[in-house]
Amino acid sequence: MSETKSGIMVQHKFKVNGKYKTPEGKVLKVVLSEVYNLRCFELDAAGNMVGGMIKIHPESELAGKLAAVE
Amino acid sequence: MATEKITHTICVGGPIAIHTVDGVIRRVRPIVFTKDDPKGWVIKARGKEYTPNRKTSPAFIALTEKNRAYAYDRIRYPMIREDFVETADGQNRNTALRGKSGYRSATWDEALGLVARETKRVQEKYGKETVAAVTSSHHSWGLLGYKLSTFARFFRMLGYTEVKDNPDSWEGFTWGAPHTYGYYWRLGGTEAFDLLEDALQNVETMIMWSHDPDTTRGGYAGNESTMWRHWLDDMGVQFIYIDPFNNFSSVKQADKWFGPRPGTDAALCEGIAHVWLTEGLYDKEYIAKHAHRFDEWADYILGSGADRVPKTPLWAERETGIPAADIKALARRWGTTKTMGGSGLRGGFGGVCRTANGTEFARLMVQLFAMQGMGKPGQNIWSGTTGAPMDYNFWFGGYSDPLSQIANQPIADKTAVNSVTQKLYRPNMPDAILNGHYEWYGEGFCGGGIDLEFTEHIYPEPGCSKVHMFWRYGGTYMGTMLDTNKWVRMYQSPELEFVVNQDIHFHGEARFADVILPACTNLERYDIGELCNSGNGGYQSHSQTGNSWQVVVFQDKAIEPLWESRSDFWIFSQVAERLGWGADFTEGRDELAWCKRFWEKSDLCEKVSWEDFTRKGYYVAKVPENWERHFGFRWFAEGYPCDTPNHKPFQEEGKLGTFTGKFEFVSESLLYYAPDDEARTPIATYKPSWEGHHSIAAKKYPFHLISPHPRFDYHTQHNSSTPWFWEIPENRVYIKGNPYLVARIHPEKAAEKGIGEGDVVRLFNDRGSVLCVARVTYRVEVNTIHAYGSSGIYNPVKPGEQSMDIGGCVNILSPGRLIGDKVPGMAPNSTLLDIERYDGELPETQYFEWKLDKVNFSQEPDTASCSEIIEGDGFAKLQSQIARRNRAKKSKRGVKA
Repeated sequence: MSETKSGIMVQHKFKVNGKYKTPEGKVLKVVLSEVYNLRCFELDAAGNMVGGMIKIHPESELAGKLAAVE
Repeated sequence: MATEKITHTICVGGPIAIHTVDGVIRRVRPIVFTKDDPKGWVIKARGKEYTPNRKTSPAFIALTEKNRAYAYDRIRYPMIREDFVETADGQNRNTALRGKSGYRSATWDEALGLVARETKRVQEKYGKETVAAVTSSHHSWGLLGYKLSTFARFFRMLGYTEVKDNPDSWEGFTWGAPHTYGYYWRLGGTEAFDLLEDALQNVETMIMWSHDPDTTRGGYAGNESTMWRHWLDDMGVQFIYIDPFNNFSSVKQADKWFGPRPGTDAALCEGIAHVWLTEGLYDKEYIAKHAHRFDEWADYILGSGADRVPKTPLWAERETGIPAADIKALARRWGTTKTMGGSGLRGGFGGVCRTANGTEFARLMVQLFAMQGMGKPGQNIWSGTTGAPMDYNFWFGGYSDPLSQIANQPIADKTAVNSVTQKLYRPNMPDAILNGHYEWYGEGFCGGGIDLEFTEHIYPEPGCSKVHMFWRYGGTYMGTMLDTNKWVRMYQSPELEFVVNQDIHFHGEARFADVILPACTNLERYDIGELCNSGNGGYQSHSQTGNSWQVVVFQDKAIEPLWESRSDFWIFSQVAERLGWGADFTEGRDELAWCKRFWEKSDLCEKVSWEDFTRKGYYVAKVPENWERHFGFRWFAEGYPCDTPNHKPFQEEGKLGTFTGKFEFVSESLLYYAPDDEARTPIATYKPSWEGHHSIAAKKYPFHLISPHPRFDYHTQHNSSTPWFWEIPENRVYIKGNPYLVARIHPEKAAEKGIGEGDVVRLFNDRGSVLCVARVTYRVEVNTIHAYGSSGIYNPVKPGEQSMDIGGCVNILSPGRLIGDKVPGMAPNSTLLDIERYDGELPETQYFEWKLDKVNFSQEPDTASCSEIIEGDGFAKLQSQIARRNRAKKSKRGVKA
């Protein structure tokens, strides 16, 4: 993982449209990867995006614990 | 006493507040912010502080929405072509009379029933793919009603042959620039993040190439950026305009205007490069680090390449007509001062991209900026219309965001998926329909990958049937696509058994439909949208940085839909209902409920409650006082991972999106995908146009036509339906009931042709002829005729035939030919023609008004005629009638209560 000049974590380890599991077992779909945030929606069991948009700062503890879902 | 209501909306000219009384629009104005709205950003530069005015700055076209809403050419009722016959087999329907025939009014039940029956018949008989549909380039602003939302949901659920858009405003940049510097995901456009501040602090020279920002207004941003350019002007920055037309921004601001012969701009680039190479006026260290195969290109410029021709300023003078001494002076100024610039409304647009040599110009222009250290302070592609500070931490969707369309999750509960894979390509749809076969390369919008420029397409797709029904939605193409008469031939072909048109105004293509469904404006329905946010979905993201303010607007219904018009959502939901899947289409939501979905699925719901948002009508995002800067291209110049929004993984490794990750002066992607492409060679070079001054045709047709994006239109919105603009002598001249478009000609050539100021003139070539009114002016290059393109008025003297046009539809004259065999872009500014004074008879009116008058009077005998509305009395009469009717309805409701 490299860092930008401004210290923001580089986000390319997260794929846009990729699915990631949280420690609580929720599956999130990354819909946007911006400077400040990964933007995600939760997927239900049928694979539908539900609920509101979830913002995760790429340097956050949660971001570090997201596990890619194949 | 009547009370005044104030609502808000956004149109393609920007956000506006609308005052209504008795359900009639009284006036339209910019939105003026209150003390509750946040402070604007402040940029400190050269000892001063710069902050925007506390209001929105819509374009003047937006302020005429009242004229456009009550327009003479509003489609008031569902209409069916008089001689249309609903035959069981789809044959013998008098298709050759499309464009000529009049109409009769129909009830919504009749029109919708016919459309549903025909849709079923065609799809059951031939297959789902035999229905094709396409939107206009722009219809009405709003995430619900815009072209990729309600339209897409309906047609994907139906299953249809999609007509792929071409990037008609910036062809050369899409098909050329990515092969030099990547950015295919921005469709060839550059990244301008925070470059307004960079410019205010550092720039000394601005190169405005094929750029008229006060006219094209940064796309949808209205006049939000006008003040920025005044600030630069006031601090002494030199503005150099390069355009065959000394355009409206140039005459106001230019320190120097250069007028090259149309289509020769790439030669000017090469002449500039020759000066820099021979005089050492470029950033050698930057090039050594960031350029690929620069020396081979330099050899070509200096005359050691395959053609052995040095591209000296004198050589460039012979092509462009610009004196060699001026080219040297331009090159030296650019090479010795901190210079920003670019072509067109976002740095990578402009009429110069819409020429036969447009891809090569775009690549060369990028190469010139690379030679000066692109990304260093004050050195960048930036054309003064984007790059304002914004809160990157606030997200609201734009129209090309898949996340912000009712066709998709998460806005919809279920995503609509098109079951048909067959496609058509917009510029050549008439060829495909008329010939029954068409092949082309490229996806049109290739944001997903540079390889998409080279995908092969065949129509009909193997295993598929040809299209037999066409549904046109939104403004007309007669004025924006090329070789207009081939669209006439397509519409009159019996191959198209049924044609539907859904539009607000009775524009050119509506008059070729069998059934016309009247849509209302976005002043007459609910919607939601953000100023100038075109989205992140493969389009040029963060276009909101073209605004001084980031504003999301609840587009409240200012008035009820006029006459029998209805919202596009209502129309599609009614057809879906008749096709048996209405509930799936709406998911049980009305328009207001859909609008709320955009609020709740974005950051807006964290900032303001739905109730407060809809009550106030808009939300202004605050830019943090010490916002974090992410200067466009700085990361590349200084060699750290990309920190700008809309980045890609390879940028985070410090690389561009080219094969080598560097500026490619010899394109490896072209060597790989299309090494034999004659239009777009691995080394970008000036190539004389296939229709230009070196062509044999130039002997017969010695003038170049340039038809840039218009000042008084947005594509086909406004000018055609807004007669207020016809009073502007630089726009049109109203003679005997017809608004003739102004065509500009140089005094020297006008004298040779015996043409005087204000004369009616005929522009003509083998493809057709158009009558205009002459404006004799030194503001055009001597070989150039300038007439704005994209007129919504297609008005042939023999409707439905390939006859002379009096509406200013100059694309009748432009070639339908694409830039190259593997470059599927349009080139309207590679048009040759001649001009002569016209002394023939002029008609008494526009030729299509009688069709509307006949229908309107059949429904409302005391209404005003088209000509009465155009000339003013009828315009006032209409509004009085509507106000009276509204008062009566209100009073009736009061009695019942």
